[in-house]
Amino acid sequence: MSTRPPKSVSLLANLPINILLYVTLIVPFILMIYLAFLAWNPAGGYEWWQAPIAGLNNFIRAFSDARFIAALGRTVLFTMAVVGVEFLLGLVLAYLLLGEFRGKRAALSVIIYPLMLPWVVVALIFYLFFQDYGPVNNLFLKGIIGEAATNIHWFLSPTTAFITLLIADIWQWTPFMFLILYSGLSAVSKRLIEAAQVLGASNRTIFWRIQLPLIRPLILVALVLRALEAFKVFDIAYVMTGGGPGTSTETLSLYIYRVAIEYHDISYAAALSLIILIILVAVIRVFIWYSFERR
Amino acid sequence: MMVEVKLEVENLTKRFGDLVAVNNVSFEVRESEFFSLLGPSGCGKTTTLRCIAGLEMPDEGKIIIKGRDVTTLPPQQRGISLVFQEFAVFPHMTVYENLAFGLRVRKFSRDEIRKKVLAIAESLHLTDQLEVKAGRLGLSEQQRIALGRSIAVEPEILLLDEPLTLVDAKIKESMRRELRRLQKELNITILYVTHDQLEAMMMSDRIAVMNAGRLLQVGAPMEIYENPQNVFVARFIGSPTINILCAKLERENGMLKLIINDVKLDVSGKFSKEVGEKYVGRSVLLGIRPEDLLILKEKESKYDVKCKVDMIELLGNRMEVHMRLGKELVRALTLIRFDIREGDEIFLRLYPEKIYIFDKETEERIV
Amino acid sequence: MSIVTKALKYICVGIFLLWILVPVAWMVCLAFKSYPEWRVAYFFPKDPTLSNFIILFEPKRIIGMMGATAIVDPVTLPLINSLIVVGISTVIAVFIGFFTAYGASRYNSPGPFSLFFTLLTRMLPPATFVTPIMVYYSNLKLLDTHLGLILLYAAVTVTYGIWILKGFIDNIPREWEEAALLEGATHSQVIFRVTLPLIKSGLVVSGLFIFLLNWAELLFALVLTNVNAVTLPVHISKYVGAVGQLYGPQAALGIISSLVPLIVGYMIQKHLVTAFTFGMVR
Repeated sequence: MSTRPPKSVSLLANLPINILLYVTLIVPFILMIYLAFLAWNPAGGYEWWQAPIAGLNNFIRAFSDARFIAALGRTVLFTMAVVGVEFLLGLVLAYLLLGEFRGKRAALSVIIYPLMLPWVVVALIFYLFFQDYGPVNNLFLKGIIGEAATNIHWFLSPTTAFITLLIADIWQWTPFMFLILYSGLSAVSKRLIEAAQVLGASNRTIFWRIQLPLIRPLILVALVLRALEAFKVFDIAYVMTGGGPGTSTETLSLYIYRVAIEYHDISYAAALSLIILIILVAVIRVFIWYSFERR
Repeated sequence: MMVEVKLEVENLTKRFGDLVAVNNVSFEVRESEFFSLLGPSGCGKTTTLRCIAGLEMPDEGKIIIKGRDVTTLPPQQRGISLVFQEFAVFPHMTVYENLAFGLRVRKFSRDEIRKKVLAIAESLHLTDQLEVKAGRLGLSEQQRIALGRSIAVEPEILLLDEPLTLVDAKIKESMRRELRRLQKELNITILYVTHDQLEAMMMSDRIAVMNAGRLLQVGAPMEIYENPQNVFVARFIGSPTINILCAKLERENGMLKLIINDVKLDVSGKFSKEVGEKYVGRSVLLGIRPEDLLILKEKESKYDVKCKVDMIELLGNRMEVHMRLGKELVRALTLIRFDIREGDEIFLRLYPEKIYIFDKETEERIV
Repeated sequence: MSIVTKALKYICVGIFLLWILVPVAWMVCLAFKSYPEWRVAYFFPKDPTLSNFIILFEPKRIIGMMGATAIVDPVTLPLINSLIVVGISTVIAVFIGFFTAYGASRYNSPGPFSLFFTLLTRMLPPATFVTPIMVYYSNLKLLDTHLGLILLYAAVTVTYGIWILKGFIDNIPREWEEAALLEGATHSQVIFRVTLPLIKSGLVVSGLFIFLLNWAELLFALVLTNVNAVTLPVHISKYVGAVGQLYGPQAALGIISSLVPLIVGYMIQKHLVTAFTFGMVR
């Protein structure tokens, strides 16, 4: 399978991708490592290569930066909550849609489309949806708790603002979990299901003891993929809540963005980025090691 | 002795679009019987089996198991068990868990399950592999696991869908004997689907031959072999295949004669008066098995006809001789000691008792 | 399955479908409502209007309502920019992805480092490496240019091209290529005339998928563009920030921005099954 490739193929397979990666990404990555050790004020009129080296100052500052720690913790909480809920909902939905029934194709099309919308549009949708005079307050909640509903200002209280973010993400990404679980479950050989049936198993038993265990590796992949994406959350925080009220819904990406763009503190942003990168790479390595060790 | 009927299939019909896969099939399987559904690929035997199991819903007809009409019941409630051609063992479970699956579903206690599983593992020689994940094992083990877990639930009737098709040729022989032994030992009623007539003949108490969705004949192996009801059954059973020749029935000097090409054969004794009258002057099909033909160097009786040897095939300790009777090709089996060569002219004795006569149109057996 | 369970099933699915449709329905209805109706409780506009849409396209209109004014740019430039940037970067990502996937599938060529690095680009939050890119582009004068954004978009999505296409290429038997080689074709001819046409549907799937991803990209565009290369997502975010109370035009913008991805998404649905069996699910 891996014989020596001929020159032309080798060139084609290596050159473009390497040029692209090195030029666009790898050089900046290296630059970032240097930047993190600087004390640079871009507004000061001098370029970064003229800035004094500040040693580990930026990193030490990061560890006592309450806002940074809070953003990190908040993002982790967000990720876990969102992935958990999406997995459960996706599983329930996959179970419900497994058999044949009328209108299934239409239902599938509807279920999938939130995935196609850009995050900003989703943020926009829920920004409009949760407005004070929007349907959530005026129509739905009014029916449940009466007039008190109009007093809920979704974006003005830390808890409710966070909830709107959760709901937006869950709304958009549950179909993703559903798709993966549904494909996996459908792919389980029909014979195995029939074998279980003739042995007397009910549909529920088949679901829990045959289908689910067989897609365990798939579930793991789906969870990891979704978790990595959820950790990046920026768009909905930026557009819907702006990190507010105050900084109570400021996610990690949003904070780093602010540090770099609004506070112009490039080297600190670089340091923060490096810290997160190291943590993530470590986590990923541990995970890879873990999943391969189990073989 | 009153024999109990385990399974009754009545007028079973199943269509897939325009195709009638199972066409008005009826038969019954008795208690402790090894019953085979035999037929070529696509004849509807697997579909019949799946209808009995509850994996397909018949369009017409009834399935009755031990007196209960189960036609509308799902597979879980029929009291059957099925061993698939592909085995379909649960790859993520150990052998033990596979064998125990049906019992766990039926809510047996852990101790009872343990006892039963160990017993079955013992008789199927799986005891050493109980803790191994079933997905890792080879075909023959998987087949035994599939068999074991089906037996464990003690079904009223055990269904098997061509279980030996995927098994190595060398192991097939021993597995067949194992299966038969197990069946007798545990007194299980078995409905066995296969396309291999040798297999069916060897293992079954009774065989049902199917073709193109129809049930052609039911009977004990010997019965079917010696008394095929139509050309298809005659051809399907027996190896090498029966010779089928075209012949015309004539009356000559008050005697009935079969005319095959230019050869005349006196068959007066075979036909009853009415049947003889009916078929005089018409063409019929004559069937005779290769093993029932006698090869002679010279004509010795009125039943001997002249043939020319076309080709000789050596099969172990026998020879299969292909020869020409007029224009027709006939095959005969004989011991190797016979000294003949290609191109020789020899005589073939057609024992009238061994001849089958079929109607040319309906292919049904007349005599 | 009993009638009760079946009914329950339909109800649950129905509730979920409603939950998917309702928020969007609200936005769609808002888009057609004129100003007085923006704060009402019911869904359908009593007096539908297209004025919200028109406002979006007007050049630098000063919108004044209820005492609040705002200057907004028309949506035409961001729309065009998005089409250009995303379109070109998608093509680049798919083709470079194809070449790399070919090498990876047949010869293990690019080596684990490059492949792992491309995976990293998806795993790490964009915010964590946008800072140095901004500095880098600033020095290279690539800020606020189409080229800068195109290169970046291609670089971060090429990994999907590689992943998806490698799966497709793996499924093409090597013998077919070897047969062509034996008949005198050069390697590049084999790649372009034999393999490429065979994985057309893979190209379509990865292309559509990468397109959707890049179309939605906000962070990089936010940081790296300003006036010239502004993309649609940036425009949307500015709209919500600058004109926080103007729900009608915002909703209209939402609808316009969804049209392209929905069309693309609809096209991908047909190929979705192949996409899932060829690599993503693996």
